[in-house]
Amino acid sequence: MTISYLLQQLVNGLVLGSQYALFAAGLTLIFGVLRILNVAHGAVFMWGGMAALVLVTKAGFPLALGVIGGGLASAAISVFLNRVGFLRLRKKPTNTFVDGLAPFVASIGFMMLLVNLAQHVFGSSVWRFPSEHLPTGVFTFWGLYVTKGQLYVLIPSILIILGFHYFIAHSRTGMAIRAIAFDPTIPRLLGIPVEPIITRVFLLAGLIAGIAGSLTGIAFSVGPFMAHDVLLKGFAAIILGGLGSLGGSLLGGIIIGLSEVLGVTLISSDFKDLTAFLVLFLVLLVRPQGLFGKKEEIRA
Amino acid sequence: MKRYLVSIAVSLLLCAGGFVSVANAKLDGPIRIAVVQDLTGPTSVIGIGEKNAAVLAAEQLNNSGLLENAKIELIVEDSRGTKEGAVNAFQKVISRDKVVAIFGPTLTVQGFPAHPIAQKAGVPTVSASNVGKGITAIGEYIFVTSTPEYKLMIPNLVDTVYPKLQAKRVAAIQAKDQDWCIDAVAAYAKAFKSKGVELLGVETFITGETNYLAQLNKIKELKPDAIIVAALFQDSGLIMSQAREIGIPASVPFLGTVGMNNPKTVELAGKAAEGALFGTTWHPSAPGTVSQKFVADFRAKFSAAPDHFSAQAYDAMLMLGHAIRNANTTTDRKAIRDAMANLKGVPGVLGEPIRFDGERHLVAKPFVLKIHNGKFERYE
Repeated sequence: MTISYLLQQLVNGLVLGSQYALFAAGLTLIFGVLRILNVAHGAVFMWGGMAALVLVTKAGFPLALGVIGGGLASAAISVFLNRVGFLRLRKKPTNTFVDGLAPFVASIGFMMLLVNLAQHVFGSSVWRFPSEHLPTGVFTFWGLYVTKGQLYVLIPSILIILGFHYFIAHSRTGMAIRAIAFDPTIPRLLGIPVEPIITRVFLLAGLIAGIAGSLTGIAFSVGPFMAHDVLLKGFAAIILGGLGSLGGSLLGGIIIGLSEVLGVTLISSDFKDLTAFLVLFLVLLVRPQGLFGKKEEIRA
Repeated sequence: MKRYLVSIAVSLLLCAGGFVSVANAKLDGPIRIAVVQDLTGPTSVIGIGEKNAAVLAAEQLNNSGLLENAKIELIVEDSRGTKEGAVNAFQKVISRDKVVAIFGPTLTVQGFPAHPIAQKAGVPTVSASNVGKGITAIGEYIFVTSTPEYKLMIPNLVDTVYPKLQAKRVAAIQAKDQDWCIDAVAAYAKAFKSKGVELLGVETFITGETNYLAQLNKIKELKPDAIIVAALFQDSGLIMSQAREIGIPASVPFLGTVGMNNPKTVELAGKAAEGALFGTTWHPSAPGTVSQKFVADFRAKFSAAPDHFSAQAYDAMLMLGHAIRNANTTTDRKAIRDAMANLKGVPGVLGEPIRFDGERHLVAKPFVLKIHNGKFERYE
């Protein structure tokens, strides 16, 4: 095995991982604030890719604007899901069991609805962005091949995740989000309007998912089922990183991506997914709360 | 009375000639045939085409007078691309709808759990895209109009292209969740081995993944002379495109499967598909009159070109129609099965005439297609 081959695969793993990380960022944000495993996040991601494709091919948008449009479309869908679904469930009288389960089951329903809708509108095939719009070509250095499509995923992903991190850590909204994540009742008692902040959480998560979907679409392809793989790996990434931790989702995504590719490289492609989940399993053995997760104690 | 006897004599004569027309008891009433295809899900691109072809065939059979006063009624069920979907649909159409025959399911992986249900209930089934090994061995009620690629098209392709290809070492990438893809790669390996060509390695993925870079870089490192791509058309198209992007040169051709036989392959792969070769038994340019008429009618009705699965679907329905005619019943499943096995002389899209062999596979002649300038061309 040559060094350049190994490096090449590491680059591939990094790109794949950044794709998972970007997807997982929104997933972990919603979980951190609302304790919902939002399965519909995958469908929101997919609609971003679809919207970007329509904007670029039908409306003639340049690629970058298409990506932003994809993000905005997904943000709108995400906010809509909160308004018509999750918000109503939050307003129901409290029941610990149902509280935990109902939003999760609702999100499965939203996912099916959105995927079926996409299938109805676009058909179930996969599409690529037309080649005249695509950044075709490769950068070759030290015997490595990095396609422009890969760079289109990698660079914006890292920038967005860092920017997002900064936003949550330093902006007023970010602080409010963290406060609600810590405990939603205290901000409410202090007179901080909780619901508008939660709307912003869904907006942000949707925006990032939409951008992730558009970038993935540009690098590879889009289709109603494009989120299938990324959803599973996104969950793995946030569990690995520690549920609710943004930095954890970034690291988790990259680790899952890298272990998948190294599984192919060092063992066999039959072990691609197995390696990723084996790494997850091993980490959880040592740190059940995930890499960045905090131990939670419930005191009666 | 005399006229009656004459008509019997004439019909016996026609029967003896192998062609159809029994004039004594006219066929009447509904002929309930189930269409179990993937109408949603990733493989619905195949399933919808097959369903459309079945609708077209049923319409034309009903208007042709072949079935006299009887009319084919299609009961369409969505198998959703899953095994459970196919199994549920088979159970429903057999026990509730009491169909006389089933057209479907779409995929080999669905056929393995679904066909035994039909076999047990004694319902003849014809599938147009179950290409995996051992499908018809499930029982005498199971027919397929897709020719077994591993047995027919792939050995023929290797024999045809080997003299020009002169490959010494090949590598493969296959969809590990599709039985027929695994069979296809095994068939390539066997055919190449007999020519002294080495199979360097087989990389795998699951249908619907869109990023194959890790596997393709591994193949690139092996430096093969040709790459076998065994996948459905979406994966096939994306694989070829990504392989060229990471620097696998155009001098390394792709050897494909029936999965490539769809215009969408070229749409997804673009220039990367140039020179790809695969075996088939049908192509829209096939010269037969039934085939030409089918292409024209299909285009007129659905404003899309039929793929070879649709062609096989049309022939499946045609065979069912003729079997029902020959069996002279709209309800007797056993008689229809027997008539299917003995059909001869039916002019079909895949050949004029078409028939089933002893293993209930449609008999058709294989040839090789090459992707050239974005079009499928016959490779001689």
